[in-house]
Amino acid sequence: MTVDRRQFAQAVGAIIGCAFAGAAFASTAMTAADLVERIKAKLLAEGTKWQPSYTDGFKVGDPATIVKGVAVTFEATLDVLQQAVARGFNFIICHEAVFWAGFDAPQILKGDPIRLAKEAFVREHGLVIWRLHDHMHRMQPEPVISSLLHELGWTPYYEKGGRRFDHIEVPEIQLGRLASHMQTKLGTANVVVVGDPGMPVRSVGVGIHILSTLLPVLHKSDVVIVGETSEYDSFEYVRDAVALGQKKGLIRISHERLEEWGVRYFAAWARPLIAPLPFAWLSTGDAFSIQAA
Amino acid sequence: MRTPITARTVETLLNAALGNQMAVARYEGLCVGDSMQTVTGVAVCYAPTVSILRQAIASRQNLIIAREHPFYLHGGPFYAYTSESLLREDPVIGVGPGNSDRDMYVVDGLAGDPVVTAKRKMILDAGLVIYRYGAAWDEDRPAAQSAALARALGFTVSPEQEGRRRRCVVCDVEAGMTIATLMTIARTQLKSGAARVVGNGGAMVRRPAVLAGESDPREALAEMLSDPLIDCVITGAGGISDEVDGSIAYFRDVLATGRRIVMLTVGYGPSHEPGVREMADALRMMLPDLNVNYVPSGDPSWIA
Repeated sequence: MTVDRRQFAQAVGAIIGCAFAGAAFASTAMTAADLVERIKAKLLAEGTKWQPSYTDGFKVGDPATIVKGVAVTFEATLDVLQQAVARGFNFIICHEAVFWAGFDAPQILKGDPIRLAKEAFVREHGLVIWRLHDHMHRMQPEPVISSLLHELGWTPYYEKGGRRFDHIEVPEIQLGRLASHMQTKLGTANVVVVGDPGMPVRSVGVGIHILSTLLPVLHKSDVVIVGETSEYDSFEYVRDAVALGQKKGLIRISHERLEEWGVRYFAAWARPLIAPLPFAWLSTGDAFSIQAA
Repeated sequence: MRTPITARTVETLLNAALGNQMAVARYEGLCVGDSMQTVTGVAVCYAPTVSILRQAIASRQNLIIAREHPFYLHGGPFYAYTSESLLREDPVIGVGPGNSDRDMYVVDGLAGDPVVTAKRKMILDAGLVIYRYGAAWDEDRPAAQSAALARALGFTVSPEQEGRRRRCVVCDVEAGMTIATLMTIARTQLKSGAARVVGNGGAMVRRPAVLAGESDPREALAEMLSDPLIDCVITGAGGISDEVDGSIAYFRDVLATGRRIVMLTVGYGPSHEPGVREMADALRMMLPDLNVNYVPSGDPSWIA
């Protein structure tokens, strides 16, 4: 089962239509903990049982806080938190860590001025931050990679190929033109490529961050798409594969541009649970640009 | 007539010069090949790519000294990765206790891989010997790679800074330099194919911190940024594997506090090339009886 085009369009339309809705109903008393229980219940109803997780759960703030508005985002950067506060939201649902490490361990940069500043901002504005990572990836239908493929216009090919992420047959396109297509569709110039720009590409797959997840894709498909990966192993492997005569390529985008389309889908999925409270999906954006101003 | 020198002898000389640091580094030292072979020439490089191995074979240089591992095992400090396991017909490339999951995944994934298999055959058929000196070099000269990168970018690095036990060097550019100029230098001098900016690309830089390799761990970046006058970080790449869990995410929050600072990433390999060139110069001094050549690896990446 996967996110089809109709579901996706409905979901994104719901976000766009509801971003500013509900301000008049903000007096509805619902705590952050209440909202999380609603989300867990809907996940369970759709087949995703809540399980112990190092990543998922309340990270900052008091779960008993009355929710005034909800921002859903890929990563709760300080910039995103500032945007949320400016729009009157006090509950943030994020996909990635708040304090720059997988499990948000309290000892990470404890006492560091940036950590202290972020903690102080959260405290001063009474924010509550809840993270949903592992369970979002376990959702059925899988929303994260399928939303990326939707954004790239590849949902029909994905469905035709049996909904596999490691091998999606696409109309033949040169590697350089494929990279340009991704820049346009994903709204970022930060698309880094290893391989011959003129190489014909007939199949692509998606890998996750590390070389070991890229290898099965590269063994099956012409090109692997990855959101951030180490250059010293992944880039070097593909460079050698090409030198040995294999027709292979790697396209690296940012983690944000790989996954935040799925987070946007989740935002729409959660919207009915949040209504009538104010609500918005806030893009984390791409950290990197490729040109000096 | 020169006395024949084996790869093992070279290793002994380097160990002596570097204080035998390689003994504690994972995936360091001899990676593949017969160390008792007589050395016909030495190629020093960032990455022992297939292309560089072909060049070495063509120019009869049978000893490769590289910063990275021939089989993409960047690694950590715990496991001695020896040529023995690679020489087996059906190699079982294992990992020892205490290793990270990440390295375990990589090793498992590489067992029997067609690229690794073909590359290993090329190495063994040609009688090449590959040593890796990355962590050992850094341990002996912690800021050497960063200082070399800074010099390649046109900055002056004081000897006092080079001697400090930290990975980065901080430079002063009194006249200031734009990010646009720095990106041009990165493209021309470092052959960077994918330089990228985090922050204000229009910034003027006057006190850059230069850090070869990656800006991770975030704690090291945070310590570096404790100097409030630093207005730019020039590095190779961001996180160890995943930038939202590392120094790039941290740096974004630094920017959001209002600090006027920018980061320029020039590529992991390109950031190390100047240091590898200087390492080749040093090895030439250590191995005066051998023909030692620096061979640039080049940046395999580009932006459409």
